[in-house]
Amino acid sequence: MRFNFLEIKRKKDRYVFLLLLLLMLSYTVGFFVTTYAVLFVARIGFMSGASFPSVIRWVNHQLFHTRLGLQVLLAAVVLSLVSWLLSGFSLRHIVSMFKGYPPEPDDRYHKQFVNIIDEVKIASGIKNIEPRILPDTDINAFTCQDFSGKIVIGVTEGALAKLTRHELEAVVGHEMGHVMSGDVVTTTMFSAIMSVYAAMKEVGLGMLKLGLAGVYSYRSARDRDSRVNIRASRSSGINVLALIGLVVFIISLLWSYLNYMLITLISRQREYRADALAIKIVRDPISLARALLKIKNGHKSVKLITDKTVGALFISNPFTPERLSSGSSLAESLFNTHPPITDRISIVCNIAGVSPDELERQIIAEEKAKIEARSKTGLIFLGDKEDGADFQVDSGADRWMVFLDSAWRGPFTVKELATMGLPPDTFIKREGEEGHSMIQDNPELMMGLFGVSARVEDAGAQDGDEVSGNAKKQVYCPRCRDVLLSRADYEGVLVLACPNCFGVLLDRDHLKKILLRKEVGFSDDIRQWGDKLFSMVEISGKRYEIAPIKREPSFVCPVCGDRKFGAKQETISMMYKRVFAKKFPVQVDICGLCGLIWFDKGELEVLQYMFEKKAEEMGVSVEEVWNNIPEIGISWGG
Amino acid sequence: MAILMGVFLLFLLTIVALVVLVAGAYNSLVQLRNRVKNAWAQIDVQLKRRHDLIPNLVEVAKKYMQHERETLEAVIKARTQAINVSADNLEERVKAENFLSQTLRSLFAVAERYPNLKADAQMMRLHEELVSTENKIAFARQFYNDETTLYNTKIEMFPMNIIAGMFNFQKMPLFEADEEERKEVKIEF
Ligand SMILES: [Zn+2]
Ligand SMILES: [Zn+2]
Repeated sequence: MRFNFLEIKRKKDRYVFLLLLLLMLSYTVGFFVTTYAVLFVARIGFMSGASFPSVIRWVNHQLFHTRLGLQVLLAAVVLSLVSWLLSGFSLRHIVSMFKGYPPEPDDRYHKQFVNIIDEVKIASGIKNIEPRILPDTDINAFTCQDFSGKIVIGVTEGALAKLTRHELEAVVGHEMGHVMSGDVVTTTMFSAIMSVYAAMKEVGLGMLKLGLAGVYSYRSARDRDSRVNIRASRSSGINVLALIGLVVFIISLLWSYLNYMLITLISRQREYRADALAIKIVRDPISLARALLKIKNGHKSVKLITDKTVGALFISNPFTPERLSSGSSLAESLFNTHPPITDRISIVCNIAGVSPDELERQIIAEEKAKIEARSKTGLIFLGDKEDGADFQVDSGADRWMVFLDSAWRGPFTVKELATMGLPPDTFIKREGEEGHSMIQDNPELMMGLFGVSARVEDAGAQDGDEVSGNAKKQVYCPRCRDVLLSRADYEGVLVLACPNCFGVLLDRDHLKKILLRKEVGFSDDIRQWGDKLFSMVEISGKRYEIAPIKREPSFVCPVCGDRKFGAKQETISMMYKRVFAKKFPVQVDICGLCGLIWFDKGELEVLQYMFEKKAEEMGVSVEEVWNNIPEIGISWGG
Repeated sequence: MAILMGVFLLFLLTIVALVVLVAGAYNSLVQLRNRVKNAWAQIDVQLKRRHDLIPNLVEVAKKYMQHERETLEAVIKARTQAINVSADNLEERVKAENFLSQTLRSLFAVAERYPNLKADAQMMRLHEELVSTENKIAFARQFYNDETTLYNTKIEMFPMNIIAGMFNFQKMPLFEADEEERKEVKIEF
């Protein structure tokens, strides 16, 4: 289909104008009520003993027979205009509230979303659409647009992990439906205005608290000193502050609810309309129905977005999950920005010609089959020659014999020794020589094996690089020392991995993403390893008993370690030997400075396996397990 | 004399009016034709992208699908054909690209039987890019067809057909929708 842009624009203008009228009305009513209440309270407070009718007469006179009334009206109109204009340009503010970030082109799941947005751009002819990702693990999506015409469409990490491409297309189609029908600008403005009310409520509450605290301290002072010569006006001044605070609080509360109701009334049908447009654009009602079903089923998980005023912008309001089914009371539906999701599902299913129950059974069966068909391949190197990922061989270097398990073994190169996890008190000797010593007595070996590397002198040259998991930066394996980490795909996330020892370097955000996604399958070894770690937790419960300690010295962080040493600071930032969490005692290495986590071969898979098993046992989602981890990186005593 | 002058002036005015009308019609036709060309350029970008992706795809697929030589070769052949058609011959290009779409579809159908290939991260990335490119081609084609229909109808209608004939405006070919395309869904609320 093609879209009629003039029609869209006309609808949009109508909505925006309607919003201005509503805003002016509510501001005027609100201002008069507030002024009336404040005058009333102030009069009562200062003129003790005045009768009610006289006070009301006075207030009426002040408000309707002096210039004050006109001024209040003017202020209401001007302020409504100002907030209307401000809210029309508040896209940045709203988007920043979600803590969203731009998609990473290297992430396979993010790339898919970017592609879908690009397709929508071609289909609709609308070019200024910006894709965004929210860290939330729930399935959700939002769109907003301001007066400048710029559109932001965002989806959550949860949506990317759990929806198929077709379902994601349908969700983006729904968001485009809001853009097409022109209601997205109003919803954006409405959300911005609502956040002003929220701020006002806070101010009122603050005044109330301050006033009450003043009353309390005055009373306690009087009780203690039994002095009565404190001026009476001071106490009444404090009382008035508290009362005004209370009035502002209550009125802004009522006021925001009034506006909320008005906006839900004028936009009652907008979710249905966006669903209909999504079907028209994507021509795939079943995928939309499936996406809505998945949203409904996934709604129990924890939300990360904290500001409730923006709920109306989402495909499914993240703050009212309990109102998912139809048959809620009138009062509830008055305050709900979205129609019950079950109603939407049954309508879309009707169009698709399937029953919701049947579709739900299909989804469950599919997910089961998908888990069984998970591939066993985890880490896949994306051989990119530019990054110098080629294996480096150190020819001509010294070779060493090692005294291991009561015999001399070897010879090994320094690089090979570094992979073996030898403690510093291991006996070593040069190949072909007799005299032996310990590793710790040999500065050259200490340098090569533990930490202080030979690259200290060129550490200064790297100083301009960004410290991040960026693939363009040359990062060496902390275990193999002189092997460059290389780009690899793990669960669609671009990670840095060692082609020699198959360790993986990750930050927490990317780790969380990996735990959410379910492509990699687990071998029997991994399963046994994970089960063993679980049983260790159960037996002892004491954290320093839970895991056998790897007898090896700490690594230097491959990203910030050498650099700090060489260039600026005297300290080397080490990666500490830690267990990942109390209930997940997988041993990892965590940098004390940048927090990057190093997983040796298999450790990432084990952690993933344990998370999924725990989630299955508790009957919750993986994200809930993640959110319930009190602390990442626990030392095991000593 | 005055009458002659009047007739002459009228004649002159008519000529001027005619020239203005023809020029206006000509300009509007040029504008429409440019819009069709722009729409084609949008498709062209995506077709080129597809041509670039296919060698990588075949490279990755080869590792897993030694027994599917024919399917892979058909794709390579179709790609070569599509590249070698001259850029001006739209009708031929449309045909060649449609054929390439078909061979790609059969390649992906066969790939379904190779779980290891499907699980290859590079294959997943390439597959996603190709799916997206196909979608973009489909959307760009819709856009192209809409613009072309507008243009083709215009140059067939009186009096535009005279001007189109005078300045040699020719009809543009339409992309035929293939059967695999999604059908429009009827919505009733
Ligand atoms: Zn390594
Ligand atoms: Zn670090």
